[in-house]
Amino acid sequence: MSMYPIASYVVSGSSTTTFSFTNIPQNFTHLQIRASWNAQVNTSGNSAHMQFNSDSAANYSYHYLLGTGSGVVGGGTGGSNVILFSNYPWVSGSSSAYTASSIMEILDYSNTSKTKVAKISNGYDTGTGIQGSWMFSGAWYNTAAITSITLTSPGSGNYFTNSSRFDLYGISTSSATGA
Amino acid sequence: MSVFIQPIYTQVVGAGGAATVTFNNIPQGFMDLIIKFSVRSTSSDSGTNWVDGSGIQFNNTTIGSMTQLYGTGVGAGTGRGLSAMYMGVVNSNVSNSNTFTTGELYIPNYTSGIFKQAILDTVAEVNTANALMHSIANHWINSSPLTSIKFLCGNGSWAQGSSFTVYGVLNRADVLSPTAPTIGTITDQAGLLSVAFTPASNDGADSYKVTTNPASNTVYGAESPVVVPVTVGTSYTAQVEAVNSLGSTASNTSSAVTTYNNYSSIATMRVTSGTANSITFTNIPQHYQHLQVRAYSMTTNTNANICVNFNGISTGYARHELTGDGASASSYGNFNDSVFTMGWLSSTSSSTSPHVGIIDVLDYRNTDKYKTARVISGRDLNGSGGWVQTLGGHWRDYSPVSTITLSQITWSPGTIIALYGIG
Repeated sequence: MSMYPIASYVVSGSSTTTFSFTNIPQNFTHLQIRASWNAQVNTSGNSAHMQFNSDSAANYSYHYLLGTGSGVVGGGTGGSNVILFSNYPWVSGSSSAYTASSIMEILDYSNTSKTKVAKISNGYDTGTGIQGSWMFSGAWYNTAAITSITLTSPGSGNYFTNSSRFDLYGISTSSATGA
Repeated sequence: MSVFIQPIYTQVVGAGGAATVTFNNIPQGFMDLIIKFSVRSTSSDSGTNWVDGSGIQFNNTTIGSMTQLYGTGVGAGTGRGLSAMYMGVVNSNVSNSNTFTTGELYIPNYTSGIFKQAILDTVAEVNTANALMHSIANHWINSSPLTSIKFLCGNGSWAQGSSFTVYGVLNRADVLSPTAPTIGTITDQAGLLSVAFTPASNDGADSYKVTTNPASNTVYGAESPVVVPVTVGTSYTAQVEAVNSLGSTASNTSSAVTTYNNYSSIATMRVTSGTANSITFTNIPQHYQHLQVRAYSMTTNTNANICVNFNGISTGYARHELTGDGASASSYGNFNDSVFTMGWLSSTSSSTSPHVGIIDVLDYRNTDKYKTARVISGRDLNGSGGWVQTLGGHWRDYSPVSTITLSQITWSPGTIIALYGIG
């Protein structure tokens, strides 16, 4: 067996703007979050993002590659306070909920000799001509083992919609080398 | 939990680095392969943050082609190669320290007799506006089953800490009912039954289910042993089933074992008529952890010790006593003795007031320990004398205690001396 469910967070109601997976077990090698989620957008704002171990300082970088169906866009920055996992240009005043599916993976999350790097695949389609296929990457320039992951909805005043689901898994490795 | 994704091999590069990492003898029993990797190069490519040219080889062949989509953090691009399979760029030794490129290679249908597609995505982060991420479609122009995979660092070597894990992926149709484990020994733990078993290799089990006969609680566990609550004083057998989503497969039935209470009476000696000059407990069961003797002695003896020995042996004892008589305290010790004692009968005789004592012998069956007894005893004669003692007895012998003898006084009717086992 290699992939073990650790915890699930299912959004209830209409006020969740942030939540955390805490006390993450340290006996796995990799972590993966699989999410099916919506965001209710009331004001234009920043993108959905993650932070590790409650670190909100400028210790991160993130970059993305986006296909919109009509073009390709790349972007990113160093010295960030967060790692983005969705960069949809949320429309102010929108009352619609948009659907996104995400797989976020962090290899060697408990390895204290490595910076923590996240690889994220993200996609959404509203059926209204607004859609995107994303590839995100992010790094936390800290070799500490990850014990918590905080996920935050896009921008102030926006929130994860009811029934949005985030599942955290631990992934193990093998003692055989095959060398 | 599912066995659909199973780790097969893991390699982590040690000190000194490795130019290549190779997985040989890849099992052919899965449908697809996934390789997760976290890598860094020991070199810099003209002093930049990334090293290019890292590649992948199947079955030690150099053929392949690829199409890539990449992002740079400020733009995007695409490209194609027609001579080899490509791994993208990786963090160089001048990029942010301790920062490794993360990626995954997915190879569906790797044992089939058709050409192989291998989809790869990687991210190589640095703390600047620029970074590199790749999505690559690789093509192995060979219809052989894939038996080995080699990862080659494009410049320099894979740095220490670079890791690769190969996972096998099964589809639903490939998952089989689990293989039965081999039942082991079941042991009594005073109201609990510990059931040991050996899982079959790659048994496909998600968990193990333990049942007993007669029926008690059914307990699921992830590994051996599994502990099941049972009723004491009952003979049980046990059986273990390997369980997955398709069902379960049971082991053979174990041998029987009888469980005992955590604190149970072994034997009770009573003097109901006449007298007794010694009281012996024989054939003491060897499945408890400790023993306790609780003695209620009716005797008219005076100035005498109630002596105790083990296994009928009269050598190798030591004893020490702390005594209070209501007026003064005293102590006594002796070694190389033939007995230890449960207590002293004072100079005042009584036919109505008993002498009472408790002897504890811990780890009585432990063959790595000498045997030590702790005794508390006494007799109060309501102002006509009395005696309270705490005593220690020591028997310099590794043998398990199988017999306890009390002697050297005359016990009268009304005497009750009981032996208990403690789990």
